[in-house]
Parts: sequence; structure tokens; C-alpha cells
Amino acid sequence: MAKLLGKLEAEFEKLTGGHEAGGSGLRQTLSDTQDLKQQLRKLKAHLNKNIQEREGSPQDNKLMKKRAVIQDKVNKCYKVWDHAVKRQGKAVGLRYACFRKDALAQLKGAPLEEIYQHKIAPANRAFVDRAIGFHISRYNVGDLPLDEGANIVQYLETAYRVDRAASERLAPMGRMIHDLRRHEFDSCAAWASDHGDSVTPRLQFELFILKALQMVKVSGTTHTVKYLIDNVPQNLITYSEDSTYKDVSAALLAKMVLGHELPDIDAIIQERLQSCIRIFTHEFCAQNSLPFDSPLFLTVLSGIISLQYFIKYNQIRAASHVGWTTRDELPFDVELPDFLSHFHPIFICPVLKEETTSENPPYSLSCHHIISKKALDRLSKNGNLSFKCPYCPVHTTMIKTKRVNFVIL
Amino acid sequence: MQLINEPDTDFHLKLNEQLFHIPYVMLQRNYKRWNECLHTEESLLADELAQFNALMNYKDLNNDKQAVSVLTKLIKRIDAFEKRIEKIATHEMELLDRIDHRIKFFKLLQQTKTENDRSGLLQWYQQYTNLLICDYLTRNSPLPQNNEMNPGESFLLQHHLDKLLDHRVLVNANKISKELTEHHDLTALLNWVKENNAHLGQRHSQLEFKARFQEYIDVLKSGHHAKAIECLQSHLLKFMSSNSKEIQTACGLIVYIDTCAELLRTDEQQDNSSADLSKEYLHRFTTHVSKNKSAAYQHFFRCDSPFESQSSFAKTSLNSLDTMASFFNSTNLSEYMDLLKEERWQQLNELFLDEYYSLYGISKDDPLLIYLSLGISTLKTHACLEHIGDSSGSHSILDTTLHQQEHLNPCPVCSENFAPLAKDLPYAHHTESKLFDNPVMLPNGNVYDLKKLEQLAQKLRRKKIFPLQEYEILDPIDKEVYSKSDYITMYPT
Repeated sequence: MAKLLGKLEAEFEKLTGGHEAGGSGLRQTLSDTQDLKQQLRKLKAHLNKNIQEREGSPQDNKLMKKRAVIQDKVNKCYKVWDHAVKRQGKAVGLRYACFRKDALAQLKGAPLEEIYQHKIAPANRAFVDRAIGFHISRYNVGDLPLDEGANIVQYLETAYRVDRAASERLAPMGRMIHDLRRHEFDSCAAWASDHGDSVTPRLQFELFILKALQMVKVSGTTHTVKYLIDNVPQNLITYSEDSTYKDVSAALLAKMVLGHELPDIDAIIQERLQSCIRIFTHEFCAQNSLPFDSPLFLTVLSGIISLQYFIKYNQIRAASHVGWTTRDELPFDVELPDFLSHFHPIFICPVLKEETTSENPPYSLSCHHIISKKALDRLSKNGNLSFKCPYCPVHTTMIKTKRVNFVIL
Repeated sequence: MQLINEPDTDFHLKLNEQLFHIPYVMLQRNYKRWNECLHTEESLLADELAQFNALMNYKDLNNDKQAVSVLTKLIKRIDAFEKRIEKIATHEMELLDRIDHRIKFFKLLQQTKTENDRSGLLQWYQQYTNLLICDYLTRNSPLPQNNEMNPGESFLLQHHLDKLLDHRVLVNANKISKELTEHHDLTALLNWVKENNAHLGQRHSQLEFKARFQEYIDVLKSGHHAKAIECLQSHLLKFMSSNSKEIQTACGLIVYIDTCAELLRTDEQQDNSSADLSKEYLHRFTTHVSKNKSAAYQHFFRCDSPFESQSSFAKTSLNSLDTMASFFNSTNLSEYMDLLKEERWQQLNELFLDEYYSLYGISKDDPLLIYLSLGISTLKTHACLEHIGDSSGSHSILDTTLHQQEHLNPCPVCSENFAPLAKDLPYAHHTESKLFDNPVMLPNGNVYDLKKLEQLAQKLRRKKIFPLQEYEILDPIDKEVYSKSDYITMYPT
């Protein structure tokens, strides 16, 4: 499945594993050097002591012997260190080379640049910058490390050079999410009631629950119960069957009234908060005609999915020397997941196997099967003959055909 | 396991080879530094040890005392050495840590796949997209002012992705590159060239020559002739064997620029062809040179033999106006004018980035742009870009409601920022229709999803935007009311 990943991990383990000090072994030389230093310091102290003693009794044979031992030890510990360091150095070099050969070299072979045929012109970079600006604003506007009263637009502009046009549209959402995170629900609730009918009642319900949970934590039983009774949203009935309400709110309330110990309320609040922010983001984007997912993200994702096809195509083309015949269309079909297709209706004429366009629009036959204009012309010999539908026995004449227009709502 | 038809983990690893290659290159450089450090220190230490032994071999007290001081020196040296290798070892740990983080990043991808965790997978791709954005921003941001951080870098730190991208390497490239294009400052580039001479030499790179040539041109442009000549002699002449043609042009430029300096200013604005201006140049040149101001150049030309032909040419040209005329009519002049163009900074910058990226094995094109180009093509349908720009004139509630409906289409290709990019990119290829369930045709030929059409009618009724009977629906395109009995069920294949 992920052979390379396993291999890479194993090789990396080989490169770094088995050393007490960590790393590839260079750290070991460090501790060896520290040892050498310590030893030499000790030997130096011995030598100094030896000199002092000999100054008292110059002809002591024992002291001279000791001195020779010290010299010997100095040489020996240097030699040991030298040997160890060199050996380790060599081993590290070998380990590096192995990692390169057995792990890195295996990763080669996805030639991104060869595939990049249709370059994005430098003149169009401004659009890319703006798309990045929107992406950053969309996903970060609620999490910025803002001080009290700081300006979101200003912050995004100075930190990430986000174009004001993008951030200004999302800044109000950011402010409200910041408020929600600080458990101030009023601004969001006000926004929801301002937009009245067009906002899903679910948002109001979530806010209601969130506020109740907060009161459970802060204000105590009586206040919470009063709040719950006074502020019951009209749509409570719709959601009262909802598991959130039953499991969390009602159960919690019951426990509270009975004086039982409450479960971890903070975690529950956090979970509800995330859900509320998600719903609010959806609503805010919908109200302001902003896409919920950033176009940049969806496009990059499609790019990643399509890459395997591009690489395969390139390999085939190189092997069989075939060119790219259709200039303005990719030579292969990329299978995208549902949420990346179905933005526009795509109709492939069942006769010609071509996608219909404004030049070659789809036509309905009298049996309500659909084929393209060109196919229709061909089958009817330019409208002169009646012909049989390619899919059923019904005969159609030109008069009975009708141009159709697919619309996705 | 594929959740959204995405490539497998190994494919992603291959795509991101550079995430492992760059730290490896840096590890190797670090290791080289360690070796160099060890090599120099070792011989010095061995020397001192020999000294110590020599002193000890006298076996008398005085020499022993000196031996102690040699030993002290030895210990001090080891101490300094220790600090140096500690730095190197710490750097190594940091680099290895980066590789470790990256392996974990891809393990996370693998985990979401094996656990069938679709939202986890999308989250991973969000992170990946953020990485691409950081890479793009780091590479392309203009030079930060007053100690601001590179926006790409601050975005990385904000999202704790800094271990997943070698941002320092990219920031450094960005700095040198922007110094060139924004400030026309070569200092950073020349420093880098000096540090990486070995790599450039291996690739037979023209970078140093081109950089020095640009330096020379720039000094000349600012009117410092003596300094320019100095630059030519000390930095350019060593390239005589490989770039003799350019060096000749460089020498010619000094004459050209002095003669036509004033004209140049107007020339840059008007961008006239050299033929038109040649008469004017000719006049200037003769009057100018005949004032014998060229003594300096003659001195300069004589001092180096390869230019003799040029110098003799200069002399003859003084006498013969015909030769002069042919000189100016020849194409040589445009060559000089090209040298003075602003684009040369851009070209130098590209050459630099080429060399820099090749050193670390970084892709030359921004990965983000590659993905965008492929992604847009994959998403682009023939219906894309068709509705863009048509906003209806009237703004009744009905119009805005319907308009909103239409503009909610989240097609990334039709989004305002990608539509202009999409124009030049190929369409996706489809072999199967992608329509909707329950297609019904209205008498006007529009085919809708039955459910969606009825939902819209319901919404219009509920909000009292449009008076519709229970059995009626509204076509949102031509705003006609049709009866439900008008539906014709379609059979698109």
C-alpha cells in the first residue's frame, strides 16, 4: 500500500536509530570530546601535583614513574578519542550515503515540471494573489490572534498581504466567530435575526442551546431553567427530536435539577461551539454569495487528483510518440469526486460521444431522448428525412425536435 | 484505499521529494563542515600533543612546567572545538527533526486513508494547500520592510507548519532575488556566489560572469568610468576564455555609453529603433571623440591586447566618416542598447533562481501554480465562464433571489479570481454525462431537476416573493410561470 513510506521510515530509523545521544552519531563525537576534555583536565591536575611534589623531593623515583604514567595516559586518551571520532565520522558518512541510496533515490520520478504545459502567465499572478487572499481570509478569519478591538482587515493585510477586497467581505464573519469563541453570542444572534427567514432556523437553535449550556456553567439551575422557558425558540419542536437536544441539553438539565454531578461541561460547550461556528459560516457565506469552500482549495484538490492521470498520459505519450490532438481539451477523462463535479451540467451526445456546447447544443427528440445538433443533422440528412431515434423505435422529424438547455439549480 | 479518487501516499511522497531532498542536502553540507572542522583541529591538536611530548621527554622540572601550559592550551582548543561541533550536531538534530516531522505528516495521510476518514483526509489536504500557499508566498513576496516577516513565513508559523517547509532556504532565495529586481543590488548575490563557488563551477554556471557583467554595466550607467574599468579588469577579464565576445561588447559599451549618454535617456522612453537614431549618434560621436576625450579609452584599450582591433578601429573611425556610418548602421548598436535594458535584471534573477533551486533540488515553477493550472483544466467545462458578467438591470426581490441562486454556484473555475486564468487553459474531457436526477423539460426547452424546481417554487410561495398557485412553478431563467402538468420527463443518456 504505502511501500515507499514504510521504506522511508525504516531507512530514517537506520539513519538515526541506535544512538543514545540521538541523531546520526555526530552527537556521540561531542560527548567523546567532552570526555577527552575531562580526562585531560584531570591528568593536568595530576601533573601539576606531581611537579609540586618533585620540587620538594627531586630524586624520588616513585614520582618520576608516576609522571611517566601521566604522559602515557595523555597520549593514550588522545589516541582513543582520535580513533573513535574518526570511526564515527566515517560511519555517519556511510549512513548518509545509505539513506540517500535506499530512501531518497526511490522518491524520484514524479516530474511535476514536465506536466506543467499550460503555464499561468505572470500577468495573471495578481488573480492568484487575490485567490490566496480569499483562501486565507476564509479559513483563518475566526482564529486570528487578535488583541481586543484589533482590526481584522488590517491584521490580514500586514501579516499576509491579503487584499482588502477579500478580507473585507469576510471580516464581519470573523468578528462574530471571535465573539462566539469568547462566549459572547449576542452579535451572532443579532445577525441571525436580522437575516430572519433566509437563515436556517438551525442556527438560532444552536445559539439557543449554546447559551443555555453556558448558563449551566455560570449561572446555576434557576437562571438556566428560566432562560430555557422564556426563550424557547419557535422551532424547538422541529429539533426536539434531535439527538443533540435530547442527549445533551435535556439530560444535562435533568441532572442539574436532580443535583447530580455534571459531566465535563467545557468539552460539551466546545463541541457545540464548533458545530455552531460551522453552521454560521455556511449561512454567512450563503447570505453573502461567497463560496463555502475556497475556490483555491477545490482547484488545488482537483489538481492533485488529476496529476496521476497527467503523469500516466505523459508516460504513454513518450512511449508511443503520440501527440496531443485536441488543443483546447485535455486528452483524458479525470474522475473527480462528487463534490468536485456537478458544478455545471455536462451532456455527452450519445451519438457523437462529444460534449455539447453552445455551437453544438442538445436537442430533444419526440421520444424525449436527447442528442446533439450535429448528430441530429447527420441522422436527418440536414433535416430532410424523418429518422429513428438511436435509442428507441420512435421516428422523429425535424419539426418535432426541440433545443434543450440543462440548468443546475 | 481511495476516498475521493486521490493518489496514494507513495505518489504524494514522490511529488514531494524535495521535502526530503532539501534537508538531506543541508545535512550533507553540515557533515562536510564537521569533517572540515575535525580535519583542521585534529592536525593542530596533534601538533600540540607532539609539543607536549617533546617537552616531557626532557624529564626536568622546568620543561614539565611548560608542558603543563601546553596541555592547558590543548584543553582550551578542545573546548573551542567542542563548541563548534556542538553547533554542528545541534543543527543536524534540527534537520533530522524536520525529516521526522515530514514522515509523520505523510503517515497521517496514510492513516486517514486506512481509517476511511474522509473529513480527516480533506483536513490533510487543507494543510497541504496551506503548505503550497506558504511556499508560493515565501517565494514571491516583495522584500519586507522594517523588519516585517515574510508573509509566507509568518503564515507557516501561525499554522505550526514551519517544520514541513524549508522556509529559510526559500526566504533567502527570495531576498537575494528581490534585491536584484527591486533594488538592483548585487551584494547579496555576489556573496552567495562566493559561498557556492564549488556548486556553480560544477554546473559550469554563467552566473558569476553575468552578475559581474551587470555590476560593470551598472557602474558605467552611473557614470563612474574609472570604477567600471577597475571592475572590468579585476572581475571580468578572468572570463576571457569563455566569454570573449561579451567582454568585447563590454569594452565597446564604455565608448557607446559615453557618447550617447544623453540620448539614452530619451531613448529609453521612446524606444526608437537604432537606425533612426544612428545619424544623431554619428554626429555626437564624431564631435565628441574628436575633442580627443578618447585618450583615456585609448590608454585603456592599449593596455590589453585582445582589444587592439577595437582600438585601431576607434582610430580609423576618427578619420573615416564612412566607416563610422557603417558602424552605426550595423546591428552592433542594438546589442549595446540591449545591455542597458531593465530586462537584464530579470534575466539575471532567473539565472540565479535556476542555480539556487538546482542546488537544493527545488522545483523551478511554483508548485501551487502547477496544481492550479492542472486543477482548473480538470474542472473547466464548456458551460463555465458563460454567465459571468451578466447582472440583470432591475433589482426586484425576485431578481435578487434568483440571482443569488445562480451566483451560489460554487464552481471554482467561475469564481472571480480563477475565471481570468481559466480563459487560456484547456477544457476537461468528459466521456459521460453528468446531469441530475429526475430531469424534466419545461415547454421553453429548459431542463431542470424536478425536486429543485419545486423547492424554488415553494420558497417563492412561502416568502411571498412571487404569487404562485399550488400547481404552478416558476422558471428562474425566463421567469415564466408554468403548470406542473407541463413537465415533460426527459431521458438523457
